[in-house]
Amino acid sequence: MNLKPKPFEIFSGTGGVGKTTLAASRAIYLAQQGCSVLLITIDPAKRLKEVLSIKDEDAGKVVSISDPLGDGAKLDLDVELMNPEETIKRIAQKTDSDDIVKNRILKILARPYGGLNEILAIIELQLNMDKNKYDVIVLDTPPGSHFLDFLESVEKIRTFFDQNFVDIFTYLGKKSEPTKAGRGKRFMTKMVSSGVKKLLDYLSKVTGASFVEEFLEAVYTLYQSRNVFLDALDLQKGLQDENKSTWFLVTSVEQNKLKEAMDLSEGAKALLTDKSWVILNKCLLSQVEQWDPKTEKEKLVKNSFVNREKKHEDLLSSKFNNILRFSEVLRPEPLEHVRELVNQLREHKLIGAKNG
Amino acid sequence: MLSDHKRLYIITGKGGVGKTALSLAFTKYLRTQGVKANYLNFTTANLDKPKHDIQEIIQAKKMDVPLTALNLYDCASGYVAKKLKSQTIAKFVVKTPFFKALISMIPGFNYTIYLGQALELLKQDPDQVFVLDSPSSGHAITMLEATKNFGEIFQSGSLFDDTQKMLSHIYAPGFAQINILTLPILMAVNEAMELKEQLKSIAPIDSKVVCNNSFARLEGATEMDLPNFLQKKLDTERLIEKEYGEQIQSFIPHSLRNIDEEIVNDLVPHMGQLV
Repeated sequence: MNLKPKPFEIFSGTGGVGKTTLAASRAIYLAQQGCSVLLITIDPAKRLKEVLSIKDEDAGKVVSISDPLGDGAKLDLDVELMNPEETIKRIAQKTDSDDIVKNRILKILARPYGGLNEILAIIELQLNMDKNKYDVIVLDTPPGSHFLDFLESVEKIRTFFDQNFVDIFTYLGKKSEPTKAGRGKRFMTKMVSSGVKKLLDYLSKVTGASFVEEFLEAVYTLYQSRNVFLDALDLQKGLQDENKSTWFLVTSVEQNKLKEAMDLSEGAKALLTDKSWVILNKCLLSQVEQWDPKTEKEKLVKNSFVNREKKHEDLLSSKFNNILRFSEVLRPEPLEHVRELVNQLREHKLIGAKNG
Repeated sequence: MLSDHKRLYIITGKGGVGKTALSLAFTKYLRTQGVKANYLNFTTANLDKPKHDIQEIIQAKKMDVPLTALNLYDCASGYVAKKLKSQTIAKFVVKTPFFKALISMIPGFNYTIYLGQALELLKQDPDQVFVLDSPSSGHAITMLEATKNFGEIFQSGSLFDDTQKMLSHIYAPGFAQINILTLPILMAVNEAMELKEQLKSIAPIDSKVVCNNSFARLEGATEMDLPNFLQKKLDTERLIEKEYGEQIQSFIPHSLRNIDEEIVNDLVPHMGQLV
């Protein structure tokens, strides 16, 4: 089986497994093969920034990098660090209304750890896809407590617009649009008349009355831009189509990641196909096996490393068809790290990926 | 009996640094010192996820570590019930899609609800101590940044007031401590230092940086005749100790075990450093 580039390549996994570095390496590797590539990271830790030495002020912008490995080879690689505020600005441009930028509550929700991050990431992906400029978009997802948090965010959009509010808004839509000036108030009046008064009364006892009003206005503003959000839902289909997307689920032998690997195989059942890849990162076995320990203590250390990795191997190969192994890279510099991984990717291509 | 312990230990750090194992081991250690400590887990950020599905909780139970597992739905409905003086109405309010949207969209709201309930339990039992296995560094910040955000979001009202009260409680001297867990890798240590600075600017809580999984601290490791890759690991760790030694309060040795329970038991004797 070969790792042919597809329009979307998504790197998913828990934190600390080397996902960001692997995604960057894959993007560089594909660019070396002549693909036009965009690499997006939505990892709030912004490690990619260190890896590719991108500046803070570039966050939210697509930056062209001509020589990511610093080896003089010319490449077609664009990189973007997700910035939720910038995405909101782009939504405003698209919908021709800056309400979404101005809303006080939405501003707070769009902060780096705000509640809209993952939803905005999906939209960012959609907006970049609309440019029709790239052969491949490589996406580095945020480390979730769960491998599938990112995909669930799409579901979040659906719930938000479908069940929660659409009924109310359909009702409102039949009436005239509120005027700009007294919109918050008039909107409230309509909400109240539509029968949710009781709930809002209760809520305002908990959160304060002014908040309920403002939150409704924030929701209303989001609703006005709903087409952008709902368009992004179509993306989900593409992400689940194996002709369009490759999912890389990254796990690592370092520490005890076996629990995560178990969670992964359980949670991912619905999503993964035979074509999905599991990456076992930071493998040491080839190096450990060459070691000939002399003392009892040394033997103990060797066995511990060997057993740890074999346990991961056994579990993963019992659950997944396609496993890619990457050796641990012990280089302190992030750039050297990426270089080494690009080399490993090249080797994988040459030998053809192993089929577990 | 340990005398100068805190009431709430928040264990935070990036994914994969060993927060759960260390939190369980630390809880066990505190128990051996006569402290009534419980392992506290907030993993259920999702309202609908049943408790028994959560790996960390299964593990705590398997190891007989005293456990406090809070359910977001119960915590939220308990809080709303107190405000509205009715269980029935509270159950209705919490179940509405509107309330669920509120919880999932407002950063830190879910953790604030959890934390509020945890503090309530600490108030009810003056001997109780919690070791909080915090979801990830981002989330720990979200949780504490809630003061600032909630001030801006809610502006006034009883939810805001209660959050303020809650935080002044946590910020009281000697009440809480944050242990930032990291690994002996340069990038990870750098990130832990950044996190410490960030937390310092948000919350006046004592924090310690704890380096987990140190191969150099494994008994006898430095006298071994090691293969190249392990020698490199050792060199990196020495570099880290030289550069950051003063800022890292404790180093926890690497465990040679491969089974979760055995790793936790390996860690217990080293947990005195975390108090």
